[in-house]
Amino acid sequence: MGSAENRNASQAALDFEGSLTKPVHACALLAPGTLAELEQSFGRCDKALPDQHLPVGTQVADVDVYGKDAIVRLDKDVVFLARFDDGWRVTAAGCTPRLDRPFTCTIKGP
Amino acid sequence: MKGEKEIETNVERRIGAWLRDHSLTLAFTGLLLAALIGQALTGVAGYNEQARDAQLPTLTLLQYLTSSQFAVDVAENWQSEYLQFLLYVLLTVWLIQIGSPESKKPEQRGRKTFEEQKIGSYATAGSPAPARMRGWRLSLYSHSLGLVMGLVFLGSWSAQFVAGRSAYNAEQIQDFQAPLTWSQYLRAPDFWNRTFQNWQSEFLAVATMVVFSIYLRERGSPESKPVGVSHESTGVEG
Repeated sequence: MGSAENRNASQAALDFEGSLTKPVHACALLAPGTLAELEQSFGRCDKALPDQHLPVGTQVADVDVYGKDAIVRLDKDVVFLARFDDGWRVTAAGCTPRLDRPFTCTIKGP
Repeated sequence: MKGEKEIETNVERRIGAWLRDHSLTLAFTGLLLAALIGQALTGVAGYNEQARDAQLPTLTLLQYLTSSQFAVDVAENWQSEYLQFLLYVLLTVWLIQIGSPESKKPEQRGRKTFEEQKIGSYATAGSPAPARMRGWRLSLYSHSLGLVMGLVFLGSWSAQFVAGRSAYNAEQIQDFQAPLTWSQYLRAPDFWNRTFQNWQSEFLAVATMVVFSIYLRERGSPESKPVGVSHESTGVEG
């Protein structure tokens, strides 16, 4: 996992997935654009997030950080993050890879 | 008092002479810094405009100056400039253009003799010390310009590769795509497109400079032939 930012991004991904049972906490860990997209489509985040049935990862398999952007591969999910002034926030979760194309994500920002 | 004033005037004169004697280097260093500042200010503004549109984190100027985005944009231009001058230095040993002040005359092609190069026993009192030596030290010094230009080119091209991959991968993640490994980035269009788009402009600039200088003049410039010299005159600088 290496650098401090790798650890911070990994921890933010784990915190997000770990707090999915407490949606208010999980919603606070979403990036502004991702929160807005979710609420625009499904209503209030704390009500809408549980309905997305996101997989819950508990182990970090791999992490890549480039500047303020990170991808964390968990045992059961792939999470994209960005580092804001107040820490790492989730920009997309519930992501599955597609060959030579962007990941398909259950929730994601613009 | 008079002595002090004289010393002051002498110092001022020496500083003035030093500034004049190095004015070309100083002017280009100043232009470099001004252009870098311009690039940094417009670069961070452009980056932040896109980040705000995507509701992603913006960068401060200091963060941008230490970012891979700024590094790759600087390095891709630097490598091509050094490649241009490296090729120019090396190719003009053998290749010529009749009528160009940038070219040697046909009979002067090649590395030239010890006597013409003022090396070995032909070195003069003003020759640099390595020019009086023999063997690898003379050989190294005889190619030091090309070697340094080549090393700086390779260094900045490598920096473009490293910073380019990092900047590209940040964009990939922002677009919810997987980052590329080193070997994938080496084959990526982004790396080669950044490289070739800079190379083509450098080669164009050199080719046009060589040809334009056959027919066109800039009075007083050592890059031009004297105004009255014929188009056929080669290797004559004004």
